[in-house]
Amino acid sequence: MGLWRRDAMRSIMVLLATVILVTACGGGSDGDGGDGGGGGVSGVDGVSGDDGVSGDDGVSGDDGVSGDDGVSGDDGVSGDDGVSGDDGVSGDDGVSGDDGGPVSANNNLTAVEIQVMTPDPKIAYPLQTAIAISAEQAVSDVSVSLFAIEKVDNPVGETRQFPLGTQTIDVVLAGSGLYEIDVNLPSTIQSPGAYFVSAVVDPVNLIAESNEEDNLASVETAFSPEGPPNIILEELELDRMALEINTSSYEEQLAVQVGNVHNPDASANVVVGADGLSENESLNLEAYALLRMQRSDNGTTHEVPLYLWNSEQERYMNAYGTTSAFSGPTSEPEWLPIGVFNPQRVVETGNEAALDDLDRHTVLMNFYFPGKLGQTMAEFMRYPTDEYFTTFASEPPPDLTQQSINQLANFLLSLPSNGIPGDESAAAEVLSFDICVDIRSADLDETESSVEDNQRCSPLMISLPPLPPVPVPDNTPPGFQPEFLFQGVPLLSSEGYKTKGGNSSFGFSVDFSATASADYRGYVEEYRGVIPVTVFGSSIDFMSINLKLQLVPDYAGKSDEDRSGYQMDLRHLGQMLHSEVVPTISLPTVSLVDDLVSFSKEAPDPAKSYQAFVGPVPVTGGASVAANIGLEYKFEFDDKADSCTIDATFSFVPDGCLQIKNTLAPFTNIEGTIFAGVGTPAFSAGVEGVITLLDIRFPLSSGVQIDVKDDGFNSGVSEFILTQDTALDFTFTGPKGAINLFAKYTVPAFEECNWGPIPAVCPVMKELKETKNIIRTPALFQLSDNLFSVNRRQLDVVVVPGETPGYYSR
Amino acid sequence: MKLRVKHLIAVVGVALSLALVSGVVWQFYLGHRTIDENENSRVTDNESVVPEDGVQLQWRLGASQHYKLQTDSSMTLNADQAMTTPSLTVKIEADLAFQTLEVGEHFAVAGLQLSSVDMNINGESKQQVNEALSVPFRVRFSTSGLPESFDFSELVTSENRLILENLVRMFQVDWQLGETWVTRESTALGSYSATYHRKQPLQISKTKHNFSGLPDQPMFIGAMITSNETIAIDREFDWVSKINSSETVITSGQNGPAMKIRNEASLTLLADVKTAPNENRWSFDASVPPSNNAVESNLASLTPAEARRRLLAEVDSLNNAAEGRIVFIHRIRDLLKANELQPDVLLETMQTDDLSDRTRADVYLALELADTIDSQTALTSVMMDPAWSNRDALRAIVALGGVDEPSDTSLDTLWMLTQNNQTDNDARLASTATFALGTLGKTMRLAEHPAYADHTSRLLDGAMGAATDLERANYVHAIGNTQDEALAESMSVLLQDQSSMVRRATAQSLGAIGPDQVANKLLSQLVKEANGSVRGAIAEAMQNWTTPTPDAVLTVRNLLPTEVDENARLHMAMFLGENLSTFPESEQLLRQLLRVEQSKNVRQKVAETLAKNSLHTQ
Repeated sequence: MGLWRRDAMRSIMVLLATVILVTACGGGSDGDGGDGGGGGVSGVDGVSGDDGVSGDDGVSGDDGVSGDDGVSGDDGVSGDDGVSGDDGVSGDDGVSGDDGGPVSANNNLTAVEIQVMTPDPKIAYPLQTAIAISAEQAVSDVSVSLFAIEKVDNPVGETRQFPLGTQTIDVVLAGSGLYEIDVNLPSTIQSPGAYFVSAVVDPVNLIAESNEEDNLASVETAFSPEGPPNIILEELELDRMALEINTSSYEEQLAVQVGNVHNPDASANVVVGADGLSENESLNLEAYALLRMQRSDNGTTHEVPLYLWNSEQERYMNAYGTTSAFSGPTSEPEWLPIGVFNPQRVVETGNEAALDDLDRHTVLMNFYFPGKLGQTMAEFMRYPTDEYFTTFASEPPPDLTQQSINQLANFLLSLPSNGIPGDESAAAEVLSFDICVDIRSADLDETESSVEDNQRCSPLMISLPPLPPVPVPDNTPPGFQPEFLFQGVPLLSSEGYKTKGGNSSFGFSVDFSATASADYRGYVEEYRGVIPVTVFGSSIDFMSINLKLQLVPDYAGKSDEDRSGYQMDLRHLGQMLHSEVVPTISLPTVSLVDDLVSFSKEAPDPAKSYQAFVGPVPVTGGASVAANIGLEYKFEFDDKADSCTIDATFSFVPDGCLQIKNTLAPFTNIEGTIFAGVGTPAFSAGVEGVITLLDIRFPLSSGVQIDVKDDGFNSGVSEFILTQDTALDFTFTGPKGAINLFAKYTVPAFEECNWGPIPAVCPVMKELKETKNIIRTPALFQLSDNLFSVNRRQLDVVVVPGETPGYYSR
Repeated sequence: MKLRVKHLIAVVGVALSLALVSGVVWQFYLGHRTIDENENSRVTDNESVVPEDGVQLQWRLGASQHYKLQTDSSMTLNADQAMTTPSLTVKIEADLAFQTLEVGEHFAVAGLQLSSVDMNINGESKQQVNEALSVPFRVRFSTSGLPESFDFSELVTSENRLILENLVRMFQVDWQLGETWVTRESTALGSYSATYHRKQPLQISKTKHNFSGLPDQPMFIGAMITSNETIAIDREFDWVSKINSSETVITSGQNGPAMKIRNEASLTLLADVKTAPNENRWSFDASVPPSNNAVESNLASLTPAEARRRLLAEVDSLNNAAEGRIVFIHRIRDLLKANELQPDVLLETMQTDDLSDRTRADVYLALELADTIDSQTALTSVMMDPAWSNRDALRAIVALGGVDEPSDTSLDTLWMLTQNNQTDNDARLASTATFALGTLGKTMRLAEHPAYADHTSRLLDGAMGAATDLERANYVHAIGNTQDEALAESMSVLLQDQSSMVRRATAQSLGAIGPDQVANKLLSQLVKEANGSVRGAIAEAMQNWTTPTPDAVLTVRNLLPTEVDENARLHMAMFLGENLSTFPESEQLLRQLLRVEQSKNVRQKVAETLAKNSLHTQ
């Protein structure tokens, strides 16, 4: 083809594209337009589709939750917030009745030109463009749709055309301005070569203009083949800003319960994806995490791998690639699989082209900090001037190897001190921490075009556990011999589970904690849990639960405020929903309560409204969450001495014996849903998918016995022995599913046709379905664990009225 | 649910009434004898005997006449001249019966009824809708012809009322004497200025301009209106004899889609059509609009058998669903509105079918969301019938507490339950009913319910004088559920109640309401409070104190180191932590607490607040 021919062809193509696209801007041809029925705006008598889940794009479709027997669908009987249904207003009856008239609009937008800013645009990679727009008046929310039109040598025949997506400019200022529009080149383009990139300003004519024929700009460019893919870690959000590091080795933590895997220390949500995948290619990604430690006093940095929980295999990944504390790595460190990623595609079905949103996954991951990490840190931070005795490694995984401990010790050597043994504050001043997450392809032979965007870090404040409590001074009368010999401290066990998942559209936090204490008040168990939910940026205190249970013997000097009893409060949206109160258990009795309370609720009411652009289409709708929230509980109180069989080793015959066995198990399961609509019938919008945000259960079990050696009413000195078994478990399933908004609107397309005997390319209209992903969490997170266990812990309590209680241990 | 209704109104209203409200042009139906064709000579005769500045509109009791009306409206999403394909077309053809029912000094009441209605939207006409619009209704006009109010029977849905009202408003005329006059006329979307010119003694022209959109119709704020309208009267007939109108409304696109609405409409008196007056046709009782939307219209068309079948199918689907349950809950909600029997069908299913416990809980949510009188009746029947389990009754109470429009019966039933404490189970129901009354109190307050004052008065009476501490604490929680700041002061006296349960409930409720008004009372009680749980609740309430005083912060700093209750320490520390930016001197104490506190929960929260503050100050 000669030069003149190429230039001529280019001119023809640009002109043709301009004519066709402007035709589209003008509203399309008669008998076309409107929605395809699958997502039409509700009609006079046909508001169908519940939450948009039904319909041809719904999660279930014809054979799922809707269909002929459903209340939604073609018969349009029901539907909540429906946007779908065949009875919608949209569509076209072939009436083209507008005969013009004395219309005037005060504004006009002109697409002056479009520039491709990406130096070498690659298929399946982001495409950065800049479009020059002039406006007579400032106008907000201006959509710009981009298309790629293949440049062909012969206009007769199929001309491939691809929607590239739409971006919305918040404000186009009066006058001329350059606006950056970033889209992706879908993998479906496949063939590299010459293309026209065309931009249509206000493609669905939401803005009244005096001239609609100047809204298009095109530029010729060349698309390169995909080349190697690029993996991207877009976001990393920790569930907390501070962490108290555990200083027990994993073996010590494991010892409390057989089969326990121990609770994770922190969690994070990451958003990941991959560019550059070819049409039929998918990619398995995996992640690795580490703690980055920095010293400001000497400028050194040290990194410690963290263990990541693998839900599928129900174990932590072997971050060190070793099974021996001393042998060093025997295999490659394990990375956590985080899902399969697909390229962005354009799927054509009949006269409809569907452009998927970019595949970006929200993944919840839980970290376990090796116990020897905390132990070594505590030693060097609190006693930096002491002689260092090598900490010996325990059997990993998941803990530090001996090599890792030594490297850590070298990093922590000579931390500053304020001279007070046990005071880590000076050392803490110079240490800072980040959690960093790396991602890569599971196929290690896969080459990446760039590795710079594979890691993100987030700062974390790390604190050490408290120093051991100082025993309470002995205030017992001279000559008094307690049952247990050693001075002790009140017992207190507390632990919790905290995480957050989802994103700003649908997110949740979980913050559950339980405390069990033993002291002069007897046994006190407290339980607090709160689950705020985020629905399109608004936080809802969806559920909170508070439980307090107390078991205290009657003894001389006991406060009237301390009584055996319990209270459980269940709240929804900050309001008391239900309460179970037994302020005082009347002893002696045997009391058994075994019940379940649960309620289903939805919030917010009315649903949280939102406005979004899906492609160029402004979509309004609402979102809500619904959940079953409740509590299963069983209390068994007993004051019969002969039933106190937990420990028969005491040297005395008790004055009395109290016993309680209880299980408290709050639970909830929260689902999110959205519905969508558009205010005009030229476009349609809908929803596909459903999201389960979380399914969680926290059973707290305890068995407590109080043997009253002396109630003190005669002797003046009360003494009782508390024996405690407590276990707090949890099962958690994280977010699962995906919700998409989609919109349909007409776009121009080329098609071979004949002008009489002459073959040519004719303009036709195609319907484009553009998808906006609200949330997608394909890598399901699951974890069942024991948060803490207290096995047969005992405390001897001695109370002399008016004096500080004394505590003794064996 | 409210948003759904708004959405429907947006659709139906925009699709139909937008075009109509903004002035569908009425074209004369030429198949009948018209004023132009047949009565010009008579009109001319009339003109010869009327003053040049015209005559008033005629309103004669019992006058009965007929019209032909026709509208042809279109809405185009783009206000460009070149645009040729409208996004929406609405055409209406109908006969209109008119009868003057009442004539006052400044008003006249007329009965109107459409017949032979054919409303065509984008080429489609629904017989059901056409029939629904063929109902008699009454209009009160000013004597100059402006519609002032409308009466409909209870059978007319909200949407159809809107359509009929808008149709009549398209005819609105302010017929005065004189050559020229300007008035301001209203529609459902805004108002416009109308300039009238007398062309002949019995004929005037009207043009509309200066449209002003209502705040709740932002799309029409800044819209432009142009029109060309002629109106004629005939002294032998009441009201008008002919209207021709052509109108264009263009929205600015600033608050919604830019669109152009064009309306052609006509109303023509059929002078030859005579019928005897029939007042009975318009003798219905006027009613407020029923709760209605398009969904309900469709549901109402289901036969009871079909509605039942579908309801049972959805319950079965819900029972078998592992996920996506919210979808089925919504469908059951909608089907509950199909007819008054549906809630009973649902209860029957719950009694006979083997449903999972979660499904049963979800069904009560569906009844709550349905929020009809019948669903509320079903819920109250579960509450009162001992054949239902205690768990069912609790769920019914909680569901009733969540409805948007509680009926008097629902409220009375809940109040009745609060008085029954004979057994432990009764007491559980009573406490939950009390909380539900508090929650409904919030609903009533937000809805400015006239009985709200009495409602809260009863709750306060219960808090002050119920028989047991537990009952009084329950009422206090109920007051907290109202989230009414105006009640804080009245309730704060209970901070000094002899019962620690009541004191704790009071502190919690004040925290929920917002403690600013009574924060100093909370502080003084914190200092002297003997019960650790109550101190914890007070400290938690104080966390919501908007601007705590230095004295309060200092007091809490002094109390924290010796506090024995873990929950109280937690909330005292949180109180200090959340005010670190204003009172940074608390940081040292919190850092010290990190080193000695034995509760990991407390330490974690303190560390978080310190980290947050550190980030804030960087």
